[in-house]
Amino acid sequence: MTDTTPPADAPAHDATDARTDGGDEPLLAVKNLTTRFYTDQTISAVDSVSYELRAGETLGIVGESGSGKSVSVRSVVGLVTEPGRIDAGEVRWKGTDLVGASNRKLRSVRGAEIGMVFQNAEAAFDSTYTVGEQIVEAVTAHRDLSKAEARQEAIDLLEEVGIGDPEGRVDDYPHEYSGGMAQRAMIAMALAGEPELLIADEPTTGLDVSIQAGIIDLFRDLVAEREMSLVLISHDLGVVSQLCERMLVMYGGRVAERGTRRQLLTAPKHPYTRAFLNSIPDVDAKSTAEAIPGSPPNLGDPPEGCRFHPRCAVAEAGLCDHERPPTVAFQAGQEADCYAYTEGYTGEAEYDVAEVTEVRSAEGETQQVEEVSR
Amino acid sequence: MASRVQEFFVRRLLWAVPVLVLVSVIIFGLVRMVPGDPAVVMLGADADPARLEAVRQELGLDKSLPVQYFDYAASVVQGDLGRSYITNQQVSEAVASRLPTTLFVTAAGFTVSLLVAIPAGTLSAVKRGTAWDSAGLTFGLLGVSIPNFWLGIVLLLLFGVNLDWLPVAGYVSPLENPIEGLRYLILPGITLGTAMAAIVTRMLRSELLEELHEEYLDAVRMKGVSEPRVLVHAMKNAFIPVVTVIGMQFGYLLGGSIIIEVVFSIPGMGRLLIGAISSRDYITLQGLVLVYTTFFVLVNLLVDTTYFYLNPKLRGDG
Amino acid sequence: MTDGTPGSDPATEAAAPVTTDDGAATDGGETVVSGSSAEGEGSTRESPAVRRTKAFAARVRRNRLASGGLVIMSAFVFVAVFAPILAPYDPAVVDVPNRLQAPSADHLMGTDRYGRDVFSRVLLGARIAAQVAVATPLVAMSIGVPIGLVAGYVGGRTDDGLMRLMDAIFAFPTILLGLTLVAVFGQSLTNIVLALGIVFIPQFARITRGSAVSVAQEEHVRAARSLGASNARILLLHVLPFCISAILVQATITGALAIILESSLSFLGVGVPPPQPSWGSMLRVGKGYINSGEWWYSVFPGLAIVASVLGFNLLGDGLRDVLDPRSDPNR
Repeated sequence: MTDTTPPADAPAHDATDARTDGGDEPLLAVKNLTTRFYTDQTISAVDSVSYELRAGETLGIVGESGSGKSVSVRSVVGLVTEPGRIDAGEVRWKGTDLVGASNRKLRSVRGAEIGMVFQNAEAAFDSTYTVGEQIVEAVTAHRDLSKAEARQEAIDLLEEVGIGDPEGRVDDYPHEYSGGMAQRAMIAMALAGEPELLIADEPTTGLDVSIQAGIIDLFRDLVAEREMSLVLISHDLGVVSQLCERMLVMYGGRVAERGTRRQLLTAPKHPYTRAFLNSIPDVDAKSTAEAIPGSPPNLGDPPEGCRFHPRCAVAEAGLCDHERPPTVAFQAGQEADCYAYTEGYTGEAEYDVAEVTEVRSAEGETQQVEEVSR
Repeated sequence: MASRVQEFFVRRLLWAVPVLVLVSVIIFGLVRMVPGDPAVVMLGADADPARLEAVRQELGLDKSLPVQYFDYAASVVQGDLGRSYITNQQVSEAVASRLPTTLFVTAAGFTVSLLVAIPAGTLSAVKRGTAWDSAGLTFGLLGVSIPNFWLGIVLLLLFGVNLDWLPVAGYVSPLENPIEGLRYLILPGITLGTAMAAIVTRMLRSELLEELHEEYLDAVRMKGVSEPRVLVHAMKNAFIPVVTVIGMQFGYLLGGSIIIEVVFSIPGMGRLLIGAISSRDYITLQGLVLVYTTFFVLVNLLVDTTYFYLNPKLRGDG
Repeated sequence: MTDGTPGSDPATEAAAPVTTDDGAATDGGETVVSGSSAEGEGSTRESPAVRRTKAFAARVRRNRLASGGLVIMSAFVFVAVFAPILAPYDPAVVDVPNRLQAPSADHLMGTDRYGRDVFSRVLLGARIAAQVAVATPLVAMSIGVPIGLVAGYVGGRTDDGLMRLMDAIFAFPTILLGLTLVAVFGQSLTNIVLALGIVFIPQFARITRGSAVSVAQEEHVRAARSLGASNARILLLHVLPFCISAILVQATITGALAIILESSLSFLGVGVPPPQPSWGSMLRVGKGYINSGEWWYSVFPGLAIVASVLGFNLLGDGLRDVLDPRSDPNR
């Protein structure tokens, strides 16, 4: 195994090649993760999803609601319970598979190694305890501190996340915090165990635009100062692109496309990603002007073949609606799961296939490609 | 924060006063509604007319109704519940001597019911769908379908007569003899507490089931705490609405204690009440009903205040 | 006593008619899944109200609890109505030589202290229980519902006053109030039903008041009022439908409690007067014999009470499931 450690002065998360062989094992490796919910229907929330995260990287997971992004990270930390079940795949955290791991193992990882920030801050706090008490609970779960020390730690954390007058606010109840403050407090709570990876599930959704900016800055600072890795989930491309070097676009429980921020924003390959970008007039604007026609797939009875084909402008009948599309690898680590870049596609899209390097079918057959002829 | 709770308590107290006044009017009115001349009812139709007249005057029957009521209210507020013409005893004395007993019986029921309901409701919710849950649900249904006096009889048959483990009748004050006193309170406590236990079990189960779906529990889990700790969070939240149910059930306990005292021959206020009814001792009846009701109202007041206290959202700023 | 909360509008509940597949019951108390309708053609012929009722009836039938409760209650009513015919012996006939016999082939539940057949007396006792169980909720409803409607609709001081009155009644522990009222009114079946009815008025008043208050605020109601629609009409047509489900559930609860209450009063000697066989009064006598071994005297009448009350409670629980699945999630 070649050991190409990046030069010391390069920021850890600024990789132009998304698939750097850093040499070290990835911090988090999700492989073929499949999670289903068994209610009166069987809902395939996450269908064979794979991704990797290296230490110090920032990964963004983008998609509409129902795309499976939340469920996939919840599966990572073992928060999926009845009627949901992880049916297949593995989640390797620092080499150990967390799927089916013992409760003790999960507990040792949660908080101390992986921290999670939820969407609705007030809902994530127990309204019957003060914020301070709950942060202390997070602190003492993994660290052996006296009551006074833990309380001071909580105050320090509140200060670190930018809450003014932390001594005054530490004994307040969650409902006494404003939306933005509560979000910061929740971040503080997630940091209490000093985790290496922070997962943020829609952390800015529902907040005022001005407050969002503050939270985004906070994340940026925290990641840098604490040298943490970050997985950020959002349907808001603008937020993700401000923080994450690499991105994953999910649709219908599957990964549609992955690549660096630049690749996805400037040269998206997957029709869904393109449509997604087109539905935002300007990356920084928050209004969704042009919605993608149709509606998100019913995961209880999903479309055959490519999940997106019913709404895809360039889908080819007979091809895209039959089998799961292969993963097409492009240069520099960008990948998209789409038939339009394969031989045999005779649909309307006239995509540039010059950059295709490899086509991997869903079963794993790989085909190196020099040229794809149409 | 404490001041807000106090505020709430005072506000509720002020609300309770008119209710109590209404209650006393109702009681007063009811007793006055008894057909026939109260004096005759009490002394008998063939009593000496002069005595009858004297009694009527003493009872204030010659005055107008509102005046009678105010006289009555005034004396009640001063602690004078009147004097029974049947027993010739001050009602307040009779009540005072029996009040501790009734309170013990009620407390026994209360304790038993919570001791059963909290584990049962929690288990039922946490182990939803299993045999434990079915047992809990069945208990919840049966508990409210069994009349408490019959339960008492059956328990007496089983434990008192056949097995002879526990005393069949009577009472020993736990204040004088804790162990014996408790022995005498076990069956009454179980009998009285079962229905309330069933109701609280059901309520706790349903509240806890809902609570266990709440998002904040995932956040708690993500701190890496143990599952029992997570449960404590859920229970604390689930218990808050249950507190109000407990308060309502206290009324049932008070009323039920009357019957339980009869079933187990316990010399409390309840037996006094039943005796008063059969001997047409309306003055005692009046006083007793007032005492019971006042207790109930005050307990409800306490429960409401506790609920307000427990729910930080209602409390406002701390 | 559980306080009935206003249920959801039965109209919205039944507006999603359910496929009629039988025997899909799993564990007890299944909540009904509102799936897509497989309602046949010809449904356009039926008025919405009829369709709603049918769908509702189907759901009730399918709910394990409710149907179980209905079965028991039907048996109970049947026994109550046909008791004299069903009874093997004349319950009033005295047969002293055969007094206090243990249960046997001749006397299924043994004989009492006068030699009367306990089984027959238990059957007759169902009549009293049934009358109480049906009449009490009716009395409570007929007074409580209007009070609640008026209080909620009119608001203001009327509302305050009426609700204070309700609170005052509610401030009495139920048994205590029942006892007091009967002590004042005198002992007779009618008086007992009246007394118990009064005891349960506040619950019904509270249910209807809540709905009345919210409906009174609504735009279309205010519009109707300004157009001169009579208040009574509004109350009946708009407010009442909201509360019906909750009222129904409360009625079953009241029925169950009424049976228990009446038997308690009879047990205490303040209930239905002697010649008539009430389960409670049978137990009153029976208790005196537990030390001497005649257990059947105090067990069987009690079982009868439990059975009939169980029927009501099952029905009530089942109705609550059907009408407002939210009230007990994931049953």
